[in-house]
This record gives sequence, C-alpha cells and structure tokens, in this order.
Amino acid sequence: MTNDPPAITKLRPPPVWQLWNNPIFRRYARSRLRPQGLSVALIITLVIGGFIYLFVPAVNKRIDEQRQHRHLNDVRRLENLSQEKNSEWEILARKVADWEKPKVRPPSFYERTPIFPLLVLQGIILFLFGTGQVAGGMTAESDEGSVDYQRLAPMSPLAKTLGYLFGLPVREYVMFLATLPLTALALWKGNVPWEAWLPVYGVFLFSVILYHLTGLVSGTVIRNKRWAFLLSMGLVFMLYTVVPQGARFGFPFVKYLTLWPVLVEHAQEIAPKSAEDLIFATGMTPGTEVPFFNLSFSDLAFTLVVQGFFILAMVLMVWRKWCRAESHLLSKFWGLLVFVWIQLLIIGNAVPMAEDGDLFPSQNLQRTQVAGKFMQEMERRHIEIPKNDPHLMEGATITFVFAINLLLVIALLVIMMTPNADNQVRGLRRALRNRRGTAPVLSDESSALPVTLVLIAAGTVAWYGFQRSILGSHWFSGIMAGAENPLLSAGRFFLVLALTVLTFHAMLEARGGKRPFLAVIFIGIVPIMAAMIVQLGHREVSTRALWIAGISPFTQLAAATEMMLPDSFQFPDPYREQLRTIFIWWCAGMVLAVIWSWRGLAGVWRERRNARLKEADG
Amino acid sequence: MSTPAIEIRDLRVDYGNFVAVNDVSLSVDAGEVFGLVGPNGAGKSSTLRVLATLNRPTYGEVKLCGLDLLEDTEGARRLLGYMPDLAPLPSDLKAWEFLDLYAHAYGLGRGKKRHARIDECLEEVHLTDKREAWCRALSRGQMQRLVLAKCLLHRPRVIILDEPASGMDPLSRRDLRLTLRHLAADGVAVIVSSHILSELADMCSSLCVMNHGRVLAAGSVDEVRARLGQASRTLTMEVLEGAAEQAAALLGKADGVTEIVMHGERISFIFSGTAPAQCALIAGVIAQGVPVRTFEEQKSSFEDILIQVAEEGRAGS
Repeated sequence: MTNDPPAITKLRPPPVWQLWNNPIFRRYARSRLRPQGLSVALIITLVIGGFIYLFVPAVNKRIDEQRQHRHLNDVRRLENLSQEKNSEWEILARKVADWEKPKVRPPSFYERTPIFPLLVLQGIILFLFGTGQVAGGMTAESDEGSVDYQRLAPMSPLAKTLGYLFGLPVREYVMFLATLPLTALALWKGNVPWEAWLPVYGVFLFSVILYHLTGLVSGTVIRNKRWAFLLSMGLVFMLYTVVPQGARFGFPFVKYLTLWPVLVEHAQEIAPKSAEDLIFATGMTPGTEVPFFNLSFSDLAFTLVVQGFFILAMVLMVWRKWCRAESHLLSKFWGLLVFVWIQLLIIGNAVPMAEDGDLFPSQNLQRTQVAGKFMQEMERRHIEIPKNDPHLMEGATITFVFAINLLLVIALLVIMMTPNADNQVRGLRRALRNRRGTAPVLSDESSALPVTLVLIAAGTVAWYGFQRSILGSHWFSGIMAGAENPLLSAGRFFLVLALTVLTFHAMLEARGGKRPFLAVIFIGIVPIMAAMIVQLGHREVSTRALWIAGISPFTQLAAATEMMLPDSFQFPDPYREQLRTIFIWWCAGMVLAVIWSWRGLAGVWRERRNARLKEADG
Repeated sequence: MSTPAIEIRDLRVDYGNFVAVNDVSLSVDAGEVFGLVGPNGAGKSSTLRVLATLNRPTYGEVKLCGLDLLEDTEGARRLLGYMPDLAPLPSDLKAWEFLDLYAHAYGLGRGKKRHARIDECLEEVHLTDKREAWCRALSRGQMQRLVLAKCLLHRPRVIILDEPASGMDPLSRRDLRLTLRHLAADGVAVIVSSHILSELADMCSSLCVMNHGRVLAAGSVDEVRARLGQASRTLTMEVLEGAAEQAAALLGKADGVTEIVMHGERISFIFSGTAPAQCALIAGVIAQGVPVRTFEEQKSSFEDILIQVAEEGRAGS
C-alpha cells in the first residue's frame, strides 16, 4: 500500500531586500554579537576611539600653543637684538618673524583633527578585520560542510551572498558603529560640511563591500581558513600601500580601488592638518577631473564606477558558486567581458592622461614628498622651475608594465576558466549521452583553448593600441620618428604572449595542479633573480646575465617593448644582437615547450576520447 | 499509478576516471523507507548527494515527486531534507538557534509559529531537553538527531539520510527507527544509507545493495537476502556417534561441498548448489547408511552477505 504524500508546506523565505530579516545575517548577528565577545571588542574599540578623540585635538592644540610661545620668545629676543643694532636689522627681524609666525587657528580646526585618525581606526576594523573575518568564516563554513545546508535552503543566491557578506563581519560593523558617535561629534564640532564627509563615508562603505566580497570569493575558493584570512587581509593591505605606487607610475586606474582619491579630494575640509601630508603620501592632487576617453568624471563618480564594476564581477562569481558548487568562478563568456572591461578602464583612463602629460611620473614631481616640499618652497620664493618633457623611457616603462598586466590578467582568467580533468571527462560523457561530439564550447567542461586564443588576440590588440597612444603621443612624436615599424614589435609581443600563455594553458589543462605554478616561478621569476645576482659581479652588461634573464617571458616582454624604441634608446651592439639571438632561442625553446605540453594535452584528450568510445561500444 | 517519490534512471557519477555510480536505476514510493547498503566506496553517498541536488550527475535522470532535479533544482530542494554523513554543526550556536536558522531560511512563518515547529521537531528526535544546549556540547548521536530535526523542519516529502545511525547508541537507533516509521506512515519517502546491513534491515521496507557503483540486488529485505544469499550456504549435519568420519568422507566426494569442519558428531560445510541438489545430497547421505540425526541450514546473516559482496567485488576488481 502506498501512503498519500504529505501536503507541501508553503515555504516563504524572506525577500532579498530585507537584509535585517536575512536568516544568515541573523544567524551571525546571534552568534557574533553575544554580550561576552562583543563587550570585549566594544571596550577595546571605545578605549582606542575615545583616546583618539580626546588626545589628538588636545595634543595638536598644545603643540600649536608651544609654537606660539616659542615664536613670541624668538620675536622678543630678535627685537632686543635689533634695538641694539640698526633699523635695517629690525625690519629684517620683523620679516623673518612674520614668515615663521605660527597660524592662529580657530577651535573648530582642532576639533577636526581626530577625524582622520578615527577613519584609520575604522579602516582597520572594517577593511582589515572585517575582510579577514569574511574570508576565514566562509572557508570555515565550506570546510565544515555546513555550507551544503545553506545550498539546500530555498533562498536566492543573492540573498545567501548578502547574508554572508553582512553577517560574517557583523561584529566589525558594530565596532565601526561604536566609533561613529565620536566621528559625528568631531564633524559637528569641527563644522565639517556634509558635502565633504558624505562622499568620503559613502565611498568608505562602498570599498568595505568590495573588500568583503574579495574575502567572500577567496573564502569560497581557498580551503584553508588561515590562508584565506591572511590572503584577503594582505590584499587590502597591498591596495593601500603598494597599489598607489602603481598609480604614480602610469597606472592611475588602480588608485580608484581605494578610498584615497575621494579622501584627498575632501581632505582640506575634513582634516586640514593632514591634507598636505596626504597629498604627498598618495601623490594625488585634489580638484582634478578623471579622464576616461573623451569623458571626464569626478573622483567620486569614477571611484564608484570602478569599484561598482568589481563588486558586480565578484557578486557574479559568488552567485555562480551558490548556484552550483563545481562552477568556475567566471564562465568563458563573462571572463572575456571582464578582461575587455578591465583593459578598457586602464586604457580609457591612461590614454587621455598621456596626452596632457599627467600620466608620466616626471610631470608629477610635485606630488612626491621631498620634491613636492622643495617645489613648494621654490614657488614661495617665486623661483621658476623649468619644466621638462617626459622622457621616452617613462613611456616605454609604462608600456612594459601594461604588457605585464596583460600577461597576468590573462593567466588569471585562464586559471579561472580552464576545466580540470574530472570536469572535462564528465562533460565528454554527458555530451556522448546527449549524442553530441563535445561539450558546448562555452560550458565550464569544455576546453579553455578557444577563449585563450581570443584573449591572446585581444591582449595583443590592446597592447598595440596602448603603446601607440603612449609612444605615439605628441611628447615623443619627434623622437619616435626613427623607430622600427611598430607592427614588428607588436608581432614580437604577440609571439611572446602567445607562446607563454599557450604553454601555461596546455600544462594547466593537461595536468592541472602545481606544475604550471612551479613553471611560473622557475621560468618566470627565478631566472631574473639569478641574472641580477650574476650581473652584480660585472661593471658592463654581462652576457651570461642576459642569457639567464632571457629565459623569463617577462624579460622577453621587456625586449619586445624595447624593440619599439629608436636605435639610440635600445641596447647598443653587440648586446642588441645578443638579445635577438636570445629571443630566437627563447622562441625555439618555447615552441618545443608548447609542442611538448600540447602533446601531453593531446594524449590526455585521446585517452579521454578512447575511453568515451569504449563506453559507447559497451 | 501514483508518481514515485524518488525515481532514478541510468544515473552515472564520475570523479575523473573513477566511476562512482554506474547506470543505477531505482524507484522509491511515498511512505517507503528505502535502504541503500554497500561497503565503503560503493557509491551510496554519491547517489544521495545527487538526489540532494548537491552533486551534478555525469548523466541520468533523477526525479523527486515528478520534478526533474536538473531542470528545477530549486523546486526539488523545497521537497527534500538531507542529512549528510557525519553531519556538521556550527559550534557557536545553541540547538534551538541552529534549527531557527533553517526554519527562518525555509520561511516557516514568524515568532511563535516558527518556535512551535522547532519544538515539535526537537520532540520528534527526543532532544527537547537539549534545546538550550550548545551544539558543540552534544554527543555524536545527539548531533545526528539534531540534524535530522533540521531535515524535518519544512515537512519534506523526501528525506535523504546518509549513514544516519553512525555514532548513535542502541537507544538512539531505536528512536531513529521509530521516527522513520512515523515519517513513512505520514507518506514521506525516506532513503537511508548504511554499510551496516542489519541496521537497515530493521528499519527499511525495501533495500538496494550496491557495490562498485552498481546495484547488485534490490527489493524487499527477504528478496535481497534470497537473491544474494542463495549461491552458497552453510549446512550442518549431526550424526550418531561414530558415523561422523563416514559422513564427512561421503560429503567430501559430493559436488558443490567445500570447507568441511567436524566438531564431534556435528559436521558443518558450505554447499553451493540449487535447492533440489541440496535435497539430493541429504537423500544420498542417508541412502549410504549414515545415521543422520538432524540437518540444518544456517541462513546467511546480512553481514555475511555484505562481506561476501564486498569480497566478490574486491576479487573482481
């Protein structure tokens, strides 16, 4: 006898937009906001925040008072001295006293001083601890297996993403909220207009979402909790320390992944005392428009566009993982779109800046700490500083760095889109069952070769366009007249990119695992390090160092970039001849590597096809 | 004819070159407790994970109450409750909080209504007294029962339990058995896996024995026992004093008799053959003048069957 099935219970999971009612958010709010743990975190936060709020204005006031006092003493001493001498001395003494006279600042000035240190504290809480918590927490969920329970719950992937995104770092959000009254008090007492602090805090929270999403993605992919925690925190740390240096040297786009541009824009109103240091430290100028091809954006708008794009890309990755655990982070189609959009952002921002010279480090000397102070002093003394045109080598370096970015982004996307052996076999079997020859080209189970070829072609076009915009700009038009045909160097660049990426892809697809990454270390990085050591023992360029460095594709990219330059900027003979010979040997070696790895891949394919046919016969 | 609660046709699951589940087909009706048994690596967990929509099969058709899993995964998820092997629990939640998380996620109303359902489920698995206990403080068996309570929250029509009894004491096992019977009586289809056959024999209305990803036998408990246990069986013969040597010599010459062991007047041996052949063997021994006192066939225990299945599989591979 068969029993009647029970009536289905009507399940009404909370809507996505009700974040406060999101079960995953509430689960973490419950576990991470228990009084015992939270109270300790809050006490520490409030003690540090309170200390900053009370100490920073007082100490600044004290320093200024001491300066005033010292100045008055100095003036008095000067006056005494000048009375003994003559009136000329007196005039000079008054002038000097005027120059060095400390400014009398209103009380609101001091009230603003804790805003910036408080922002740093808030950044540490949300950017660093929050991101680490998201990554570590997500890894722990996957590791324990409880993520499977969530997968089965009838909530939309977006609701699950939002639940983890805001739930895992909920304690950090509360710690941040605890510091807000102090900030609000400082903003209010310091008379900071809302037009200044609102964009800063708006972008701050936008960046928090971006970094936490980075943590969520790394937590979804990395299996080791500690690694996920460290990696995501390291990533944020790099964004605020190393990445802005990239912005100074030809890659302004990267700084929009941080809070810096908007903070610098409003620094004068929010933290006048720190504003100058901030400008020097970041190398950014307030009040400038951000060019993007023929358009121009404010810092705020461009930051939101750049961060918004990455937020969307990461939500897409997590979405795909929620829908199906074995999905790649990006499908082949989305991978291509992401590649194109990243390169458009870089090129669209850099090319107009190359035209007006802002892209080149030499034109931005005033933004560096020492040179900036020096130039300020020269300006104060009305001494004109002669301006030089950017040097061709700056343009070449920027083009080379762009080539490296292409290689790394393509390699990263190839890793994301290449199926492992298991998935490929499964795809072939499924295709056979459905009476198809192979898995659909854009499916996760099909080979990433077609999309890799498209990426190589798109990368070469992007590089050619970029280098023509930089080196073909009006700054270098005269010098570049004697250069070789740019198509030749593009051809060389294409060869280097294609051979490197194809070998990497074939190794990854045929064998997977650690081998391709070991190859990157031992072929890409170690030869350059070894060459540097060898070169140290020579005054002239060492032939041996050239040969060793030549093994690395990065060196070959540099050589391809150098080839674009006029003869006078290239290595002199006999080194140039040697570089060409090295390139020919490198190509020959890489062709062999491609053939070897492709033979491996073809063998794997043949093996899989045979197994499939055997099954079909069976 | 009503739609089966679970319908699997030609299911295949691969991990690279390893075939975990190979062309498995089975069907479970509503109100049935179906056992999936086999040694470790037989493909039970892979089958259950596909049923739970957590793994995508290489190919095959899987339907829950007529819903195709691959076409309407979200719809199917609303119908099922899944308890994995060594079910994990978050250490930072209390028992009721863990249930509340999923009751909320499944949209089981608000406040009192939800809490009432949580209490019902806790009672169902006999954990009412552990309502306020931390998940980390529960014993292995209690953890399993709590996860079972989580599976019951949204009143699923199909319950999938992977090794639910592992770590449970005999009392908990009895409770589990009762719970599953209640569920079946309510029309829920339950599919449960174990590598301990006797464990399933008590609680399942039908069984399926798997090895190396294939179904070896399926049907009612007696049918499976008959199918897998008929090839060879242990027979015991007791003769009068002094006749044991003669009986053993006769048996040694008979076809299909192996492993003769004598314990005084008792002789046990393994016989491979049909039932008529067994009758002919006994008749032959008696006809030769052996004074047979008793003759007994030892039914193979489920464990024996499973060991036999596993060993055959090992020898085959």
